[in-house]
Amino acid sequence: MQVSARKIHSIKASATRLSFLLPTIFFFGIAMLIPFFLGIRVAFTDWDGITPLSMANYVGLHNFVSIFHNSDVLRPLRIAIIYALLNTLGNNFFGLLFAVGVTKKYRFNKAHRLIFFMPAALSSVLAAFMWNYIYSNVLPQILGVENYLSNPSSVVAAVSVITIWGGCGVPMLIYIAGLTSVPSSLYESAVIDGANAFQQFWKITIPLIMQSFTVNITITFTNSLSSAGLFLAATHGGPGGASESMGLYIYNFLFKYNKAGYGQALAYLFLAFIVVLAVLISGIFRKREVEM
Amino acid sequence: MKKRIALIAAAALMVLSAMPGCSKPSGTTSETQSKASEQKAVITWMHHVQEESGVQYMKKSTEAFTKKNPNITFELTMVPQDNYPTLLKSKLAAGDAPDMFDVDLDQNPGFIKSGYVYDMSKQPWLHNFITEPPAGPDGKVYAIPTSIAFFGVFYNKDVFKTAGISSTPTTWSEFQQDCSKLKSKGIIPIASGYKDLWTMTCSFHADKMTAIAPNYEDWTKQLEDRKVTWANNPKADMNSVLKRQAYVYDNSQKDPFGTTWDAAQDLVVTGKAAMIINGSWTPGNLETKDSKINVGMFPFPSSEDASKNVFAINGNAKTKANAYYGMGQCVYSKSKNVDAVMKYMAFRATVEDGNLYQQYAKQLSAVKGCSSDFDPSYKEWFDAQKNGLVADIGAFRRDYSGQLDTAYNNTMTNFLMSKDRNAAATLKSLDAQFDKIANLNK
Amino acid sequence: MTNALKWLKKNFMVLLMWVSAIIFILPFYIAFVTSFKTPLESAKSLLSLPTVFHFENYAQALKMSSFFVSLKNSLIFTICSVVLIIVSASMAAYVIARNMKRKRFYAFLEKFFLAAIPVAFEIIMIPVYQLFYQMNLINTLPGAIIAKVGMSIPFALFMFIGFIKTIPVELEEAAYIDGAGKHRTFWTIVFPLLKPAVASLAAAQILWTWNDFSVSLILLQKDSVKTIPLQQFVFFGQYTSNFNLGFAAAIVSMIPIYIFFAAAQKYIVAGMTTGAVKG
Repeated sequence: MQVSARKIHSIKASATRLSFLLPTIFFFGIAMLIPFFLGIRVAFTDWDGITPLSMANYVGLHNFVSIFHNSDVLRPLRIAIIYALLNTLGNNFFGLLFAVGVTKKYRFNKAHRLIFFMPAALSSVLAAFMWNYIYSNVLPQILGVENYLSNPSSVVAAVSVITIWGGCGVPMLIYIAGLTSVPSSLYESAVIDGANAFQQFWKITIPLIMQSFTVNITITFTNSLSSAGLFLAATHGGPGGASESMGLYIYNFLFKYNKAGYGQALAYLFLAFIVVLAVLISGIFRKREVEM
Repeated sequence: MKKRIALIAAAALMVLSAMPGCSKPSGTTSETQSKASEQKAVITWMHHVQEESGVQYMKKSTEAFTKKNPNITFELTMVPQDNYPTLLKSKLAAGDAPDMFDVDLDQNPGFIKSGYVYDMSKQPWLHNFITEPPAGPDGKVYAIPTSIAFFGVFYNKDVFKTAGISSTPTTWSEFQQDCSKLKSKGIIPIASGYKDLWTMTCSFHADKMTAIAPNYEDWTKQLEDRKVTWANNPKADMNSVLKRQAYVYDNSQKDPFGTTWDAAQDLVVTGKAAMIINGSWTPGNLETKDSKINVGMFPFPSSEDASKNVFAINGNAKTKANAYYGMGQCVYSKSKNVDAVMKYMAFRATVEDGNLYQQYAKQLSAVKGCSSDFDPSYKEWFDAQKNGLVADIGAFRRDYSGQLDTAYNNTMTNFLMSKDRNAAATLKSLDAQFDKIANLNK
Repeated sequence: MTNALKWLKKNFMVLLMWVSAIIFILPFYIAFVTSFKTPLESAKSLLSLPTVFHFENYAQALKMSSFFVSLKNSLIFTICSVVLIIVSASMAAYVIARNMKRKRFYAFLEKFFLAAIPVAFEIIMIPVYQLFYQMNLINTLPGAIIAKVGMSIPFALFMFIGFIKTIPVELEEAAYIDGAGKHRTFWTIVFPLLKPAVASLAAAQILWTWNDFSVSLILLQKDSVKTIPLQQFVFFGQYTSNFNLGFAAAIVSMIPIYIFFAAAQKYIVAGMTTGAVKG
């Protein structure tokens, strides 16, 4: 049988393309894909997280149905959304502000850039540690205020401050990369046309760095939604559950309450929710990206 | 080109890092399996003790044992308290469990159902403890205690002297009078580090365990099974407990929920505050901060009847129906080193190890016959024991399980932080939450 | 009056940067001074410089946290992971970005990996442990590296895809006509143009990997393979917290990463600004 040269060529082309995917398939497959599917069947059982999985009972959709009948899940959801909004606003506002600031030419701009980036180099455990000390000892002593971490009405915002302090560094870098890729010739011709600084920023800068927005806003928002680590380290969900984010709520079901089946179901459901949001948000911003 | 070099370098690094353990991974128990057959054993012990004193004890204890049994060595792994349950459960699910670990078996009955814990009921050294390790409903013992834990009020003796308090209070009225005396001298009566939430529960424990527990061994279980309610239970006056705890909160330093346990201890150590309501490990902790401090202790005086002012400790269940397993050191049933571990457990039940515990971990050992003068802070405790002023509250369980625990803690927190302190409404709300969770579990 | 206002208007941004920088560095200042004090000293005064510099805090912190072993582990873990992430993700992003408009498979892949970004580690933690246990990868650095790389690829992919789209296809088509294969084209032409993206992703990923906690916690329990973040907990006990030692250990663990950034700043910045010249 004669296979046409064209067919061979197209198979070769497909193979070459796939070869670019091989490393990714290897790492992602082992670390995420397989475990993800292994974990799904747990959501349909009443597994408690300790006894061997084989001893757990299959309960079908019961876990999922209970979630919708249980109004307790609304508070963690609300906390997660507020937290995500605060962080996204904070990270991106300060990230962009600092990016614009340090890309100006003045003597200490490099030092400032390093300083704004330094908090990002801390692990969340350390950041929680440092800020706990600050909120409970430093601020009350120096400013005479209360410990914001232990007031139910301010705790989520207080934790958000910690996140923004440590989290605006990376968006700042991404914005810097975006800002520096805008050709200076565009600004020069705009100045000639009489545009002021604000107009330049709004009409030239923002559209051309839109892909930085896409990345930063999508990532910050979705990461914050599922956040559990910082809350666990800084407040344990307190006081009185006022900072029990969705991530922490799920974590508790998985590992503290011995209701891993219910926890997995909740986790996968919430994941679906976040994915839908992520696709929507990135879609909005991707459309406004300007391709060169 | 630079990237190619980077790639090769990365690959080389990976190979190098893999080399030491390239044929056998170092984390599995297969190594220990082959070693056990030649009488040599490495016992893996996963714990969550972070305090230097606790870690020191573990070192001394295992070293002393290995001296007597040179073929048995230990591998100690520390995992922070917060992550300990997570990791333990992951390891069990994978079949990679450590030989020794810590679990509260009442909160996690699944460990027994699944057959993960080793049955130590027939071990001869069980009788070496002050109260025998409890046997659960199936009559078996799966965990051994390390220390005696009781709750009470710990105070800075010098501060009491300064305030002119010559004897510790034995009734609630006396306690309130002493608090007033302290306040008039500009001293904070009580240091409460509720930011670390477990300290709040300790304060409640100190109260409930003398006020309610002695005559109501199965109260916790009844509440969880919804056979009784929090509100309007003549046998359990939770209303008064709430009122007393509100008083404690109001007589603590500013912003208890914003103060850490560490900062609260600092207040007592520096003499700014007089008392701290917590557990029997407190003297050791305070002494770690300042070895010169003079600590004393007395039971939380929850009633007007001085004869009821006794320390309360857990013993064995008064009725078979209340048999419980308790919290403590457990052994992995499928461990290949079970014999070696049992030898070590036997050592743990000796006075020698008990004294090591008291000396290094600075807490009371659960072993019978240990030295009673290792720390003058405990004088009042030993005196109370001698004078019969210790109540055995049998199988009284002080914590609630899983979600109920969270609901309880959140409700108590909100009660203390509220302005109107409506005890009746609080108890009603707690009942509603317990009902909801019970229904969810059906 | 107007001169001052004019000066303010001109230097407003710079002033803002100065104020912000001072606020940002304050927590570090506090950590720094506290790390040299004794618990009694820091209890008395929080902001003051230490009267005596207690270097023994650092010595003790280093010893208690097995610093040099965990430093080695952190270095291996971070460097290997980041290099592998960048290589794998850039390759995959290239082929996805160039083909997602024509071929449905690649369009699907783009959405697929986007959906993978928000997957929090807790959801797959137990299956990961079970799987890695079967493969004998527990308590090994390669195992942790594989897990970290796999989990970080979706975000890196997302970033690279966006940047590759800004590179004109004409350059590759020219190389193709000259007879270059896809792989050579990628490494010699496309990858160098990705410098801004590689630079910022590398910077971010090095940080995240250096400070990684969840993956390391589950897969690296033995002291011989623990990374620096895991050793931090030695100082915050359940019943006692020694802030002075803890801050000393924290600062010590930050030093390698800051040295790296101080040294690599030039390279990172150069990488980012090549984009500006491109226009």
